[in-house]
Amino acid sequence: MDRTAPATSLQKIVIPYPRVSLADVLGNAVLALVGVAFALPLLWMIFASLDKNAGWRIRLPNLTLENFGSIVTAQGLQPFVNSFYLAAVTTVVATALALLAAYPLSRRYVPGKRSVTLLILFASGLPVTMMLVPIYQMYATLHWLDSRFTTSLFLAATALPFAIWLLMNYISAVPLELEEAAGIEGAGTLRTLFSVVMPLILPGLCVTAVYNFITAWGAFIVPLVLDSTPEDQPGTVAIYQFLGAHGMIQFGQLSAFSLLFSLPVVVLYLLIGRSFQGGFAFGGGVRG
Amino acid sequence: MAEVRFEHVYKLFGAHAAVEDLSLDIADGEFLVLLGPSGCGKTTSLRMLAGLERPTYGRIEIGGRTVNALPPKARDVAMVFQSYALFPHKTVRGNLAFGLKVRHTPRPQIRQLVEEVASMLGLSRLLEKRPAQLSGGERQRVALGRALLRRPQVFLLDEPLSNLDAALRAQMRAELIRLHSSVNATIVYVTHDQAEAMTMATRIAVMCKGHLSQVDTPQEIYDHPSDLFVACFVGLPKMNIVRGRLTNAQDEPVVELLGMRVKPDPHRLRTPGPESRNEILVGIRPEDVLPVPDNAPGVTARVELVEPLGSETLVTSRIADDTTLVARFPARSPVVRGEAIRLGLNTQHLHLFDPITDKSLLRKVSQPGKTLRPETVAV
Repeated sequence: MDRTAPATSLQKIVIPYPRVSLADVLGNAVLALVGVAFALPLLWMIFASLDKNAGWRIRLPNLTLENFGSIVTAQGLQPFVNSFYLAAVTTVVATALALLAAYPLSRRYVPGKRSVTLLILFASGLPVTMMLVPIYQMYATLHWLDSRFTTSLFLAATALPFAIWLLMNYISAVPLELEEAAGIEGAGTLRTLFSVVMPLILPGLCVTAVYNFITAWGAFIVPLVLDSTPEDQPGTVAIYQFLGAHGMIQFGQLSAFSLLFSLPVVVLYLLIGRSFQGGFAFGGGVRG
Repeated sequence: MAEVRFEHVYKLFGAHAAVEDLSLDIADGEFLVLLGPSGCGKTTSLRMLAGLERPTYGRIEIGGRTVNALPPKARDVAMVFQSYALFPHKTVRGNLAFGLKVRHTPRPQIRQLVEEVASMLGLSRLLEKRPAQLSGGERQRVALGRALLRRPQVFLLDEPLSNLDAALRAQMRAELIRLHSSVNATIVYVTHDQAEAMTMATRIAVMCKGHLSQVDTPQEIYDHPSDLFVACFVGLPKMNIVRGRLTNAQDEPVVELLGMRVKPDPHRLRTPGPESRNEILVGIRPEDVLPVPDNAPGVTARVELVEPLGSETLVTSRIADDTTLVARFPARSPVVRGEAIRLGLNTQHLHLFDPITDKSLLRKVSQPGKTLRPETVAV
């Protein structure tokens, strides 16, 4: 064909459409079904929260904001404040202690290091409910019951194993030569940790902190058992107030509360996702 | 005072000896190069000196103090790593100032010292950049600057030029030599590049498989290698090794090789061990293999490879008994592959080795003044 000649006639170009196989259709159908199964309860929750007469059926809402209104009050927001207090204290304590524990475990020669590391890993799998009765007794003896602060200390303790393990992985990604160089320059262990290692694992530290926060935000049974003061109830426990006596469930307020309570977690998950995409760049520090 | 001493130092990793019986004295102000192939123990020795590894046996002294048990920061040494080990989250200024900040130097003094070193190394306009934004040569100079700022007793450099391109390497070599003379510090330098060792060192310590083979000035190492390994490792292209025989003619030892006969200096000759049965190995450096006219003493050879370097031409040729000889021909030599040429030897600088122990058969003798007595004389 002479490409230099102008197109004198419009030729119909037929592009064959790729054939759709049965496997594709079925696969997508199943995925769609699963997606719907997850989406429907969420949809109900959103509708019900805006509905004046919410029931357990999905129906177009009788639009109102009074469900939210009843929660966003000084008294209604108390559970949120409590949850935030618990999660914040847990995060700070657990992350700080985990960093101090993870650094020597992943670097220094410690006798029995391997067994300690494995022990920590297994400890992260221990169900909390197993420990609750003896812990309750311990707290009772120490007069530590009914306090948000001591409750978050226990939450931090249960969060430690996994946090240590997470941070150990991040720390071992830092090239050992940087720490050797810092050592030769005169930095001691703590100085090396805070000046050299910590800045380089900042993304990992954030991930660990956010993970601790989310876990503590959703803590239910520990605050339920260790803190019975009504004003100290976190959101997870407070949600029961909507399940009134005689099976009377205030669906509208329940779903509004759930929506508001899930919001911080959703936001934090979005944040962690972004930091993973950032990647780890030790650019220029160590060649190769 | 910053002499360094290794006394019968061993480093064992399990059953494997990375360093075996290293005894080495390094004088104050010396530029000592630890030279050897990978796995010879040179980096391990340097790390033991830095305090990053502990010797399994033996003693290491810096400035008269035994430092075996001291951590790196107490030893007053500065190290430049092969991969520079710059802190990626700090700027160049932050990297340079790190050691000073750790030692609680007052802020204005830190600023002044950093700027001095930066201008000495040409880093002044890079002070606010991060290592990721620098080229290899610039990063290397920052690593060097960080070491210089410490004013340590000993500088330790672990193959710092190996990641640079050839031109930059030559430039940095000159800078390091200049630095050594201006700072007058004791420098221990590890490399596998014998050209670096020859040009920069006041003394070279050649290591092989964990042992110290020879420690001497560069020229001595080149002219009088103590064993076959040192002879072949130092000098590019590699020394030619041919078989020869050591016989006695009229009560005087004579070496026969390649159809020629040479008389070694009897004052220096050691007798080879009985197992060798008078067979010895003779080393000839490529610059001592010369083209000669057909009637001169020598061997006929067929040219196999011609490598023109511009300033000279390396000619590899094969002789009758299947040995190859590499020769340095002058530049623009009209040699062609496949040609038959006649090669002669400069008989004044032959090296003799025992084929079983690989040790040199020529003792070193202190030579007065600059007159060089040839090791061998043609017969």
